[in-house]
Amino acid sequence: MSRPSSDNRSRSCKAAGKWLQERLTALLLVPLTLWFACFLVRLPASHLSDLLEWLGSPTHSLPFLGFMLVSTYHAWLGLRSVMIDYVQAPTLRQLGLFAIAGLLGGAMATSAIAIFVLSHTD
Amino acid sequence: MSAPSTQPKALSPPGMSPRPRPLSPHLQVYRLPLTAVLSISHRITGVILSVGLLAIAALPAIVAWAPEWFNLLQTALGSLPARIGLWLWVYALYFHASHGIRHLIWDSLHGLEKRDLLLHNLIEIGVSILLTAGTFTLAAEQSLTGTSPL
Repeated sequence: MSRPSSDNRSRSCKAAGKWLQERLTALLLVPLTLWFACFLVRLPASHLSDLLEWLGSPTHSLPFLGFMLVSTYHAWLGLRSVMIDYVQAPTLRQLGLFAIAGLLGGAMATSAIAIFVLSHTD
Repeated sequence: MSAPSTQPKALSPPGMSPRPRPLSPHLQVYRLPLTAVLSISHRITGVILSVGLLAIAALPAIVAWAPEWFNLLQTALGSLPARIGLWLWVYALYFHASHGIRHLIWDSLHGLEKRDLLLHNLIEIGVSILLTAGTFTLAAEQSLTGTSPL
């Protein structure tokens, strides 16, 4: 068993790690966000053929996937701290964190597999 | 038992009659400074963006496995409420990014003086509005494979 002081130390190291991860993902997201916003506003005027062609090319699918993965991890870090700040009951908080992780992870895995499929179909 | 009072009795010293006492500022009556409004907006936009991210993650899946649903999606996206929603989501994205960059500046121990706060608040709001307007001016009504400058 570790002593309480080392428990506290490992907890604060973990918190500092999350703090740094939040900043690093934020920095990565600055250029990706500009790119992604420009993709998003062109969506209403695009047809299925445009999207098939567009997502099928790595020039577009890679930054798309990059934005999705980095922003999902950034969202996880943010939603996690929102839960920790506002949900007091430990069981409810844990359940909430599991639900958020499941939703974000599931959505991202589906998206990544779909992009993979699209880039391998003619 | 006496009728419940609107004032908390515990605040009155023993032997003294309860009288209205000032309470610490409550969020309902306390006018938040602009910096605090932007701070809570950063959290709120973060949650809104996360929900939107889940919806956007479905897009490649629809294109890959259920293309017959795409027409429905495109019709929905063409409606006014969806367009307004898209504008607001993109604004939330730029606002969250602008405030996030400000957090990075704060982390470097800059912009923390009171005189900087108002100026940086206005810059942050201005930049997010300009980026949203710029994105829509350059790219709206353009298709992904069109000759958009972006």
